[in-house]
Amino acid sequence: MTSNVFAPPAMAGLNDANPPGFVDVDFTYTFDADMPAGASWRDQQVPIENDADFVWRGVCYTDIIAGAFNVRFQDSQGYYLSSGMVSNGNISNEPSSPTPVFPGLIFPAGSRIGIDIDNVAGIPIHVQFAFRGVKRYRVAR
Amino acid sequence: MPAYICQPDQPYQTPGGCWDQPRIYAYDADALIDGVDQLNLDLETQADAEFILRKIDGAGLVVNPVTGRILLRDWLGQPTSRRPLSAGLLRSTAVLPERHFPPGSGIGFDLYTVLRASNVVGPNTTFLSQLAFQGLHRRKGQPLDSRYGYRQKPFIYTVPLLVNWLWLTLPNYQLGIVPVNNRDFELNAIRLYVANSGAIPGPGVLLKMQLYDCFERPLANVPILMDYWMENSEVFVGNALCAPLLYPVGSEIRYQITSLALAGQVPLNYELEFVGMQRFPV
Repeated sequence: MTSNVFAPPAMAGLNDANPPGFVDVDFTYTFDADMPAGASWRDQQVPIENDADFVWRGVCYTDIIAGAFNVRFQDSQGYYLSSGMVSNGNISNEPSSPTPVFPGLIFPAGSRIGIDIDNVAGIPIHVQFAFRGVKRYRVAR
Repeated sequence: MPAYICQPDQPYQTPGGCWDQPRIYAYDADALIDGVDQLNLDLETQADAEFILRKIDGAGLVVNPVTGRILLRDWLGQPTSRRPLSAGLLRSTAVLPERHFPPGSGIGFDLYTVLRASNVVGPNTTFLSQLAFQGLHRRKGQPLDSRYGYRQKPFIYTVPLLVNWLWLTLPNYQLGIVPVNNRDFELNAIRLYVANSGAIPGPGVLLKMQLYDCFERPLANVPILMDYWMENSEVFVGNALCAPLLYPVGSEIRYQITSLALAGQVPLNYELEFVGMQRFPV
């Protein structure tokens, strides 16, 4: 009797997916876009901390000042993860079910997540992105 | 392709020699002041069990739901996010992988732009401002289990719940008892339905509940908002007990209901359901 069949998987418990010699710890990187009307930002960066690699597994956002925007992400080598800008309607704004990033993308310690974002609302907007994933620490031998 | 220690798609197993019990730690923000930042808050975990955090809920009830932010910390005081997260990003948010808090440690957090959710009638106010950390307690020892071989059948204990007392009347809580007769009962979920046609006032159900296991140990550090217990909550999603709870035959499901209703908001007529499985001897 270790698992509640009525509970969602995250509540009932999920096994670790860390490779041998590593330990994963839940972590969230954030990016705030407080944009004037018509703004188009290129090559924005979310720096990855130096203490551990980051495995990016999901993304969601929340509106502080709501409005439409388009966004495009890059991996740590500058490779675009979509062929064009993606509408905010295609990204989850429900933190209980973020948009999955599968397979998880590894960002080495000290690298960065790249972001291009356009405000297409015609008004100032303010959104905060949450890059959900894990910090992957190497276990001392 | 790296070899994994255990496959994520295999059923989760409690480590050998341990047993799990659902647990919710809630931070009551009733005494805070709206509009200010409250830093270095701490919720101490119980000294006799490891706490495993699986879900965080209710940020929008303790800080401004739009502009408020929260920075969470692990038991070592390390932030769990690069910057404080908007309240909108901490709504029924799963913690993956689960986060362990050793016995007697603490869940730390900073609240930016406190705004307590409240239920106001005239000059009176009751607060529905709780930040909840849902998970389980992991203890060493053998888990409680049925003393007989069994097969399971779905079963629901239904309890009519008439709340006709107010927050301001003392005591503002009542104890309920459901005898577990005939067979062992495994509790999996809790539901609450409105039994009359009246609308539920406020942002959620105006009740708090404390639930006890078969040894009368509480499953939360304080009575917590009913919506955190309810599988069918309209405020939060994905509520469930993180581990099943066994009530052996002859024991009791004990619960304590606290009313948050003010004048004019009672009577509240509900049906409370304890949903799970009965164990039939084979």
